[in-house]
Amino acid sequence: MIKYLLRQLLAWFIRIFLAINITYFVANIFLDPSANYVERRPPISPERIQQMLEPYNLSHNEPLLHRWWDWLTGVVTRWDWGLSPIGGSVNEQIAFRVGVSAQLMLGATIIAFIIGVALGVYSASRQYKLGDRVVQVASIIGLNTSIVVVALVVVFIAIQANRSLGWTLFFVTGSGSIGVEGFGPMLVDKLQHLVLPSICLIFISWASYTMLQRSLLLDNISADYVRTARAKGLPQAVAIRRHALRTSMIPVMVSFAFSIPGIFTGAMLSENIFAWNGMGRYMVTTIYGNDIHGAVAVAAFSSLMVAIGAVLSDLAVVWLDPRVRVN
Amino acid sequence: MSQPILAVRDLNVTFPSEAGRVDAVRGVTFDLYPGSTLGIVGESGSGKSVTSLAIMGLLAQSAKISGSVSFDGKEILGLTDKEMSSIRGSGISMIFQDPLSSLTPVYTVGDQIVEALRLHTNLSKAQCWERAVDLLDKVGIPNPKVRAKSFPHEFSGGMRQRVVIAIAIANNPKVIIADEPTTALDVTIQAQVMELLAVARQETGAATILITHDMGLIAGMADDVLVMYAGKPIEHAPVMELFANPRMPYTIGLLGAMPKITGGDKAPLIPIKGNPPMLIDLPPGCPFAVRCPVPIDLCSQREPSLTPVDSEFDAEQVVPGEGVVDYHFAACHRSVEIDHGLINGAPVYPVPEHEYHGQFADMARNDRPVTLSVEHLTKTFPLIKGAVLKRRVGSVYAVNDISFDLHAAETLAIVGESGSGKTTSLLEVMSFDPKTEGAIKLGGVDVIHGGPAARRAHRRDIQMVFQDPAGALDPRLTVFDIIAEPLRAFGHDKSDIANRVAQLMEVTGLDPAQADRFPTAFSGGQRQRICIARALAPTPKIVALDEPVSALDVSIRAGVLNLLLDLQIKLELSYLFVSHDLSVVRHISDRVAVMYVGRFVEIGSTQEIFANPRHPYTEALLSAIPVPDPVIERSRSRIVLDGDLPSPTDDKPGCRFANRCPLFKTLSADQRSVCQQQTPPLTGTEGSDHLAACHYR
Repeated sequence: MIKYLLRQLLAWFIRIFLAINITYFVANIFLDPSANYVERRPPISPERIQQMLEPYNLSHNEPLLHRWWDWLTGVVTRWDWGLSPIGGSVNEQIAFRVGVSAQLMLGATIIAFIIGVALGVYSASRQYKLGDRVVQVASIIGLNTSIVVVALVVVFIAIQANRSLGWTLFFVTGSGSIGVEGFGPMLVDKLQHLVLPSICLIFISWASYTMLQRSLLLDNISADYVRTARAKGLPQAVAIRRHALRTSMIPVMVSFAFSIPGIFTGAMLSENIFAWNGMGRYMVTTIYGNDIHGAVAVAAFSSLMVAIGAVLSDLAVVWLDPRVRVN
Repeated sequence: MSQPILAVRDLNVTFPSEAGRVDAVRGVTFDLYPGSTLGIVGESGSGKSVTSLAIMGLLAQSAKISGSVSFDGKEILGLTDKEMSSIRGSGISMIFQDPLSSLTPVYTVGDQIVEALRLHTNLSKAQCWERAVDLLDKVGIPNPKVRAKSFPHEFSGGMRQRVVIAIAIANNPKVIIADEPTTALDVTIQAQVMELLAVARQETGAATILITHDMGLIAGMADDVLVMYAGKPIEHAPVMELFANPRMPYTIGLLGAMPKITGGDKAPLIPIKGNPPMLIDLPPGCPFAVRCPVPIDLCSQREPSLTPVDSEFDAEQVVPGEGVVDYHFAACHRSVEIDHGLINGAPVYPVPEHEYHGQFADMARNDRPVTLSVEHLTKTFPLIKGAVLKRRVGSVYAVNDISFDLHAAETLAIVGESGSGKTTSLLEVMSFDPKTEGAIKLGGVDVIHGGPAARRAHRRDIQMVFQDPAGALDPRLTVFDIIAEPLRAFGHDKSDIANRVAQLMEVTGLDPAQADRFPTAFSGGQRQRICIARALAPTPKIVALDEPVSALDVSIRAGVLNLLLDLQIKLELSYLFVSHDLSVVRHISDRVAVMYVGRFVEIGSTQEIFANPRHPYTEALLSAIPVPDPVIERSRSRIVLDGDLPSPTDDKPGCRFANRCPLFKTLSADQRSVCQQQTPPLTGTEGSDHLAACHYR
């Protein structure tokens, strides 16, 4: 098993390495930092622009392969992912923003997963009854609603609530207030900022887990071995929970593990709406700002997350399904 | 007589469906006494499984159940799921049909037995494990302590069914319901499981309900028999009485439609015409009337109820309010007139007439031309190891050096258990693969080494019919297109195709007017006829039949077998027939080859093989098949083989059958070493074509 894992990790390492380098060249083709200066008044000469970019390893004066080699040695030897076109450190940005994204998305994703699976189990065990229909309708609404719409409604309600209370219970923007000290007040402040974006994210993401879990569980509820379990004397609910759920959880867990990369970079819209400076927003910023090094670093981070998701899903499958343990 | 442990009265089950209300079970009534076995027989859709699930309370909630089921004196119909849960598994337990899917794949078998024990006892976990290991030992799992920690996928089908039985008897139930417990298993494994069921019954003293479509199993195991048709019990009698003197035409038909292992030559079977009815909006009258050979006007007006008829075997029963009645019930308006399969002196089912002529009919086998000759055919699959760098670590010998000749208008049956390589042999013959080891000659031309032109020219000479007609027909093509496809492939012109399709449909007993329908509009038997018509389209000389009737119900099966025999005579076809069902083989084939782990262990004429089997494996196979006659079935002794088929992964010398062989066990050490070290060749007495591969027979 450990041997298998190590082999997987090595394979993923090679894949990530290749992906990052390909991204570097693609980014260099599509993103041009000098374009940032074109509209400047008074205009700056192209030579001057290239000169300005030189210290950031972004100038066309140096051949692309040369720049690539400098960048790569920086990454490998100093873990330095380069500088933005205005000289900011990519490392610093990423370090800060990963934390922000994690705060925002981790909780929301896990809660959405738990709610989704629970409702999936609930509606599958009441197929075609009222509870099932209600959950079905709700999940169709959830699946088809844009986060922008949800955010508008949630923000509107929150502002109304704040007004009628006369003080700010929910913060509609930002990830934290400035000047709050001490663990208790910090936690309360964080929660006040987290509630609204979390509600929005949960609202749009729980339904896919419910749909998947419901259909998989329905496949398994009528399985022969669930009937055997009931014939042994397990009441229906227990038989479903013990015998059908575990086998039907396998694909849902895989889908959850693969949603991990989305945790960090998938929240562009919500981060923008609620003004959280997370990874999603950073990805958009780097592309608009022709920030080659930033964009490559985002891609690198995403591919690392995909790898982690894949390895976690492998582990989940092995944990849940003894049949794959043999090989 | 003591009180019945299970009493079912007027049980009715209906399901809602898109097409309307399905009356799946209509008025089932029976008593089950402690220690006795009730057999419920019927074809698919007759309501026998639904009856058992209704008793267990395991039907979908959409099912409407009425009537009464009392277990141990208490009414159990209408109990809540929770209340039923305390009865299920401890009072009434159940064994299901498909052992491959009836165990949860993600738990060890030990866990699954322990779970059953912990639900109904107060034993500690350690005690439960001990008892689970005991139970596994009792049902014949070798090395139970270690095997208890194995997962279901590490067991063979027969072993899994043993585990299911262990779970069923774990809490010493008073009633065991076995729903087709051996249908998914091979005959030798079926014999093992039936023996185990008998042991389990003795062990627990439980009453058993055996649900099956196999009259042979009923004959061997049941004390009383309930025959079901269209959701309704149509005959109910003690087993001896029922087999000796059935009084309802359907039961007579069912018994007559089965090919008999003890029977003689190719006399036609007696099929029941038509198909079982849909259970939606049943018209008034007897649902069997449209298929019945002796209907009267009353049959289509009023449905007969199950009433007592005269019994010949002292079978009487006290019925409250009515006194002593004969314990033989039949639901037929004319049951009084029916006696031993005769109605007013004439057989209920007239024997269909078949004409047996043709140029080969009286010709000796060796004078007929050889249509197919297979020499030293071997098929191996590589065993691969390694994830990145794949390397061959060995071979699976699926087919290992088989040779046979097939003459014109002759049927050679290849029989064997699943995994013996019989279907692979067939597919290899069909494939014409130039890489095949060995030689395949069609009409004397070697299609393996003869080049693409010879292969192309002889492709039409051999055609195939598959096991599952539902899967073998493209659901998007009309019947016309299906039958016309091979004709188009061989370049026939349009008008010729239209004529030929109509002709083929007529020959195979289909209505040419239905040529524009899709396969889903036909029943299983009709679909197999379409498959046969398609196979016959390019006028082949040989038809390869891979279990052509095993997916069909007994009453339908007889019609298809008769058709095959008919076509053979009319069209002078050679059949290469693969089956695990020896009674069908006995009925249809001229010669039999018995296959075991990729090799022929015996080959000879059907008469010879069935009368004087020489190889111990053939002997065991023949004895494992239940005979649908309670007198014979209960008096004969049976050879039950231990263990499962070995896997054909190596080609070491020695007899493959030695580890299961009953003869081997009686041999001296010197004789045994010969079995283990030398592969026995197929040999026979001088001039005989009955060959067997055994050193000591």
